[in-house]
Amino acid sequence: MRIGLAVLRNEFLIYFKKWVHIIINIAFFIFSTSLFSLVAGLEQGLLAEWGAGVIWVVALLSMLLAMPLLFQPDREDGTLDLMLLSAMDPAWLALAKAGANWCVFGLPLVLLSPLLGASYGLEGIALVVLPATLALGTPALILLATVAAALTAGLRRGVGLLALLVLPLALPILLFGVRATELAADGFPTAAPLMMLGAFLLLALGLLPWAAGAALRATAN
Amino acid sequence: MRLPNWLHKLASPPHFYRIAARIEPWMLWSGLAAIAVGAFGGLLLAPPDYQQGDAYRIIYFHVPAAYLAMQLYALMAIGSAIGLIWRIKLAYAIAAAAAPVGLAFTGLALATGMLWGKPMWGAYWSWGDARLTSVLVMFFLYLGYMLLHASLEERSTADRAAGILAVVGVVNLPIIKFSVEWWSSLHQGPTISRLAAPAITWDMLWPLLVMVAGAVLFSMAVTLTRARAEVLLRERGARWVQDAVAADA
Repeated sequence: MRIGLAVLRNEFLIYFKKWVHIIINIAFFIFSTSLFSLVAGLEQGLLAEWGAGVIWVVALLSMLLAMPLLFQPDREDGTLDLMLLSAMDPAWLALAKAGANWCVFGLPLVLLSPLLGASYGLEGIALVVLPATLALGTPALILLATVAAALTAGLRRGVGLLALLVLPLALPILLFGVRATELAADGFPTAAPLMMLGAFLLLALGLLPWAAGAALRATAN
Repeated sequence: MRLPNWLHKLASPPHFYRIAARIEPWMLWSGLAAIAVGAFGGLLLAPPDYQQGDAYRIIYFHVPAAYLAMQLYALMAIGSAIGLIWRIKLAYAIAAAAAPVGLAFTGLALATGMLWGKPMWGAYWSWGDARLTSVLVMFFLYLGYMLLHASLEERSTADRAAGILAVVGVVNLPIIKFSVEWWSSLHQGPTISRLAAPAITWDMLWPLLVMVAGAVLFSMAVTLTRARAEVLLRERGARWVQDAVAADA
């Protein structure tokens, strides 16, 4: 646990040194969501209908974009092997790394989403529900992606495969996130899909760090 | 927890190779015979459905394919788990052998389901439907397992990494199984009720059971053939492999 916190602190320091990546990630998110509305040339009503889906998909993709940073540099310079040799449970290592990753790559998306939602013509309660779904869904997505990143850490160009491994399992999270926002936009209660997202997050928190730790061990040199 | 002794003996590659070679033809031919009988019974003898007419007969291919898609995933995941926990290499070989067979049956289940969906629901595919989506997810899980296995060069690493993926993907199995019951509250539109409103009669049921049994035997035979090839490939340096190949030639 204490070593886990030390890893967390270390991760933050490294990410702030690599602040360019954080900016790139946020810029990618904003720019890609705007691209959809520019290219489609949709009128306002349709735009509001598509908003939640577009924002969710782009959020997922921009998080995947940053995923190779999670283990690849540490694997290449040997830090990861040393960490695995230490007394720390690799599950804690995976959880700490995923947590730091979410804070710098997931949280900004959650905070920005009301703004982008508004630009898509979402209004009222939907602008509260959209960030709520992202706040519940993105940590679970990061944990899923952590497992995939650990499985593909040894591969040179593993991003494509990583995405392919994450996307099918990410599907339910995506569906419930979008559904909740759509229900909110139409004035229906959203408790059920939000609870589902919460359940996914708890399940992911309980099981996936362990799987990611095992994956790190399995693919270690 | 320790494995029973007979399992350990069966887990030795030469022993498995010999046993599998002996039971495989029986499974293959009895499976093909059952599929022939079941297809004859289902397509010609069974009466037409009072709502769906003759179109329902695709059930005789759809249900066995969907059943095996899930069973083979379970086999792949259990094999991977046994490999991860007890470090039995043969279990990994069986998991790797089962994956493409499972992928094929999942593809068959999706294809027959789509062909059936067109006349019954008016659409080949419905994205809002949990059953269809979760089976598609399983298709991609099989694909991910095979691609991950193929892209990691060292076989033992590939076995363990792909094995972890297979075990994580097990969460999808209960979702597939219960999707029809759980999601009625959330998704709208047509709900799948496979054995339509009237309870199925014996005339329609027996060919289905024969088909399922035949498909199980057939898929086991194919998986065993693939597993034997995997074992030969993995143990190619061993003495018994050279003896076995020399005996076959």
